[in-house]
Amino acid sequence: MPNSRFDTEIIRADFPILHREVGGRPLSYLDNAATAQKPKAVIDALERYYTFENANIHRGVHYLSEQLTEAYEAVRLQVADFLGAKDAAEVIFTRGATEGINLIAEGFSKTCLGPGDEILITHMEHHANIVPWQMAAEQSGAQVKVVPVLPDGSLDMEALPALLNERTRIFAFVHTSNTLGTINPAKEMIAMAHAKGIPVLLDGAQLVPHAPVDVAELDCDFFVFSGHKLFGPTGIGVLWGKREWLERLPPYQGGGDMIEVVDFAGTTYKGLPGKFEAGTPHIAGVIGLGAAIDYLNGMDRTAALVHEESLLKAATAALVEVPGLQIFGTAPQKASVLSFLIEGVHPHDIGTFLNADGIAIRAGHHCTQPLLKEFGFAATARASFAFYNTLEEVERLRASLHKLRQFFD
Amino acid sequence: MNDENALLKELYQATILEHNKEPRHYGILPDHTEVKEGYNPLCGDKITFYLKRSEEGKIEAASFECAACAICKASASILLEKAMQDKFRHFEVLHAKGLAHLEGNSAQADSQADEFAALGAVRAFPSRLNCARLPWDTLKPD
Repeated sequence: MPNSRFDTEIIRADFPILHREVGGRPLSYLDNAATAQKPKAVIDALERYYTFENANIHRGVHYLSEQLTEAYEAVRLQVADFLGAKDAAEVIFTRGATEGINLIAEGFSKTCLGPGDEILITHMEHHANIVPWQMAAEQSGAQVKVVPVLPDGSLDMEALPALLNERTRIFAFVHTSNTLGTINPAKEMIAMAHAKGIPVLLDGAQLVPHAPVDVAELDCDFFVFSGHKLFGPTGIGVLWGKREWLERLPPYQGGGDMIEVVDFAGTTYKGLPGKFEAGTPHIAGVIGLGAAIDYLNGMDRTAALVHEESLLKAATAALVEVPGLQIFGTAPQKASVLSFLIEGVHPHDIGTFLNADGIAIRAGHHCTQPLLKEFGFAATARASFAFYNTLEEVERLRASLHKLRQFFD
Repeated sequence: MNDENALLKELYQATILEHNKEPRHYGILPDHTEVKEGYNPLCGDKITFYLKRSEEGKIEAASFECAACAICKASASILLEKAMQDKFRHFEVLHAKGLAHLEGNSAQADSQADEFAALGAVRAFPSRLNCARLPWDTLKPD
């Protein structure tokens, strides 16, 4: 039944790739947690940029450079607005969520961490929010501690208070799990950390495509996301941080554009945000990200979220009917991500089988090996939905899984 | 049937499905003298071979266990079935022939429509080639 306020047919017309076929079947793209597809508006912005607007920024006196510098900085303002941040200088463009976390982890290892200190993460983190902290721990002598996950895929909130202690220097956790779909009670967790004076980094990579964000209301200290999961280009992302923290942390990379004066007797750095943006940035990516945010701002995002929730509900109901299928992650608060296992059929075989029906899902460890190990799996199959997916695609997934069950019996 | 479904049927033909369901030489070899482990970091698949060597170092028996997909499991099962039939006497030749089928090297692959040929269907699925290769990359001739 089409949602009166949210017409997926109109939305799908904006995404050229959704109209292609795979192996003679219409594409059902259900791998949105890996990367989202791009609307025509983003593709056009990139083409326009390379066709008419290309120049370097922050250094030219000519027309193209001035125009593009203005456009680049306008996206910074747009991102600040998108995140509910007051100060656009707190928005740092990065290569993605991964680079944002690495920037903070390395900054912390140099200035805030030492032997005996603790870094707190959770058992459901993406490798991007595990490995940089392990590296920071190795460099500084600090230790990584982990908040356990309960059997339904929720965080063990009872274990959290004791893990937030006087040795904890930072708490870094995922807002929405890319494997389980679990939406963590971020605001409450941030308040608990702040009550003990502990700063918080929130990994919002899987949150931003699904729901609006307000960093001021969440009151996190750092927030990271990737452009490609937000219907924008790959290779661009955002680190937002509170000014007092970003000013305290050292530059991440040295080079052009991040300096005031370079002298062999000593170099001085720019203030925010330039201090963290060395070298010519991914200008095309920033322009494309701006177009993606414009696109989302032009949409009824509440209706989009309601639509995604109806997809998750329908898919959950359909999948549990498949004999031998087990859903991994059944927390009460979930985004439209469904990890599952089918008895006797390996996730890779599920992925290959569905692909023959034009259905794209992910099979593997989803860059969350510690989480899967804890539950005793090496891999799961994962269908993840965006607002442009339809109930018809859920039905196609259901039918294909029943066919698979017979095929492998 | 569309092309993709025809390819799928070829990939998961009876030989592969049967080896996946009833893998040969599966489980821990009780008196093994050596363990060889293979791992695909891209997908997390794991395979373990258990070998029993003679005092001269010759492989006398082997078994395997894995947490892997049907393609990987069947590939390992076919590898061990063939090697054990021959008591590992001509393992080098056998290994080269198996790899030739996986890589589509017709000069070395023989044209017989046997289990090795069944494995060759994986070439139509580049993302799955590593699944079929993992056992062959893990258990190589000395």
